[in-house]
Amino acid sequence: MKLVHPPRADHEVAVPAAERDPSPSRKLLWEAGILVLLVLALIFVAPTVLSGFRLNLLGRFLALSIVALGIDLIWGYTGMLSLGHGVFFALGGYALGMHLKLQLPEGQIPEFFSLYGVTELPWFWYPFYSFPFTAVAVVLIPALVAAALGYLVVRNRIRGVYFSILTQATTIIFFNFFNGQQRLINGTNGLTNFQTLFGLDVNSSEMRFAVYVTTVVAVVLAYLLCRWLTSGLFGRILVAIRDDEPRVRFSGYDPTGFKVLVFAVSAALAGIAGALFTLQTGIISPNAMAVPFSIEMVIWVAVGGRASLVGAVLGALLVNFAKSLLSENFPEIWLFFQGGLFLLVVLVLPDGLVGWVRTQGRQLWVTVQLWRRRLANTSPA
Amino acid sequence: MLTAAPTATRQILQTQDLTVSFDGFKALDRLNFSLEEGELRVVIGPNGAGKTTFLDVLTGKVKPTRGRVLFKGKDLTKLKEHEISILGVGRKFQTPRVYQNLSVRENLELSLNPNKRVFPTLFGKKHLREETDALLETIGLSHKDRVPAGLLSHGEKQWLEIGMVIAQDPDLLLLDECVAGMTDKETEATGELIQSLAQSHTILVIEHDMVFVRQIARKVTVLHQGSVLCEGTFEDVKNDPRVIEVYLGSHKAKN
Repeated sequence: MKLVHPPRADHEVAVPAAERDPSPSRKLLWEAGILVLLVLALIFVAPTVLSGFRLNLLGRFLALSIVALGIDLIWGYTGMLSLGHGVFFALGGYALGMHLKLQLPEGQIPEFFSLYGVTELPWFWYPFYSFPFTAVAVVLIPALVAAALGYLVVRNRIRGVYFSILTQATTIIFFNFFNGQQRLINGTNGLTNFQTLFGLDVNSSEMRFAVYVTTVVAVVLAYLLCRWLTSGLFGRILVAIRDDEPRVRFSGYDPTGFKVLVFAVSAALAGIAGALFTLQTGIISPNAMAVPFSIEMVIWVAVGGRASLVGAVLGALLVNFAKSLLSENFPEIWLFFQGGLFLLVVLVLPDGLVGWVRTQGRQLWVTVQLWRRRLANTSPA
Repeated sequence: MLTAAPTATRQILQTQDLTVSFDGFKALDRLNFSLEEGELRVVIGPNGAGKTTFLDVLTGKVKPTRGRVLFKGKDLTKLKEHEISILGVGRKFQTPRVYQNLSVRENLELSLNPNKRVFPTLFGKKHLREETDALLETIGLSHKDRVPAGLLSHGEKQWLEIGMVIAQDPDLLLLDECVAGMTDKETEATGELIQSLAQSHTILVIEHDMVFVRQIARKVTVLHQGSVLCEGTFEDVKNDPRVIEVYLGSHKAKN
């Protein structure tokens, strides 16, 4: 380091800087404590409070919150708005779905093939007999597809709305392809009617609970991964890319690698979410790749709060619970509600719920405290 | 690192017949320019003389239509922006471009990071505390290290961006109108900072503010219509009839 003024009285500068630090290790301890409490509540309290049906819903929505984390990583932090995460979600779902369909006695192939007169299992199904292969595929197939797509797009400096359009076009291509391939993957019907996993009935309550716990653990791991990626120098660069990508190049960074990596990680998270969701709903079909679902994912993050990981999880859970409550009671109004919600977020809560709490909410709290103090001071006098 | 003999100086930057044409308009027209190692050079010129385009070419933002840019013997015209930056060319933009949502400290850390590839950045050592503290001291922002850069005053942003460029430890510093919008006092302090930086860096300053040019200039290059009009000391250039005509002539035309 060549410096003009040699660091004068270096230790003198360092001490007050350290004092001003709001003790990051203590904050981290609080965060870890809250996280542990939440996990314990989800695993031990939720099953006793919620009905089996609600618990299953909670499990599904927790799976969806993993996609929301991935979307937040690329949109909230890095500024890449993907309207095509349904593809990665479905790829993960299909990978696990194929493994589930292959839980058959020796020599049999999944029943739907007979509809199309297919007697021989298509070649690409064979590796999915193996669970370890499937588990890796759930993560790696979406990640590799995203990395390849991301590299081609990002390297050519395509960003902003053009990136979004390309991701949306990708969903349409994948949707049409999967929809049309009856003889390979049952086309528009998708994969359903799953029976067993590891030799256990997937519909037994023990299995359901095990899947639920797995989902909770997966959400925590996904959260920690995103937390690690978005903190520290790497996370700062993501934010810098979001705010002023051309400037980042002049700071000596090539944004391509950073963007491709987070896009692939985010797709891998979507794949995991898709697999866990499929296991809990019992079906994966090309509908998961339809355009509306990918846009819904973006709405969850917008409602919860961009660039806040807690916001992404919260948004996914709240919007989906609202959706299930409303569509149970008034099936026809959900879409209007969703549209209204999106308008509300854009107009009133541009930074989502968490953003509101951070700014206006905090202000409100300070004002209330101020009034309370004032009242306390005036009343005795 | 470069170690030039004290007597014989070496050329660190050289352009040959550099031409940039935008739809037929020549922003740079066969520009031949050279800079010696350790030099502090000021480039002036009326609006539209091609000053900022010149920096755009040096940093890889604009590819020239013709000609070469040699930096430490390497042709920069084939390289991408980040490669040029890593090679040792640092640029301070005309309007301050700092990362608004990152704190002052984070802005500096991002620029200080010794290995800027993806995985070293992710897994590498993250606390560059001493270096950052020293830099904060240099640019006088120690007391604001946790403030988001977007909340700084204009002058402070300018200083932060100068700090970010210094953090990259470049061999050649390009400063584009770095005192624009500063108060007189800030301008003078910036002048002092640049002069002390000049002891260990080669610096190319592009400037409009003549008081500031007089404060820092050793050698001045005047650009006009994309090529060099004249070169010399501030006094020489000030009294050159061609320079007077270019500046006063354009003023007359405006009035």
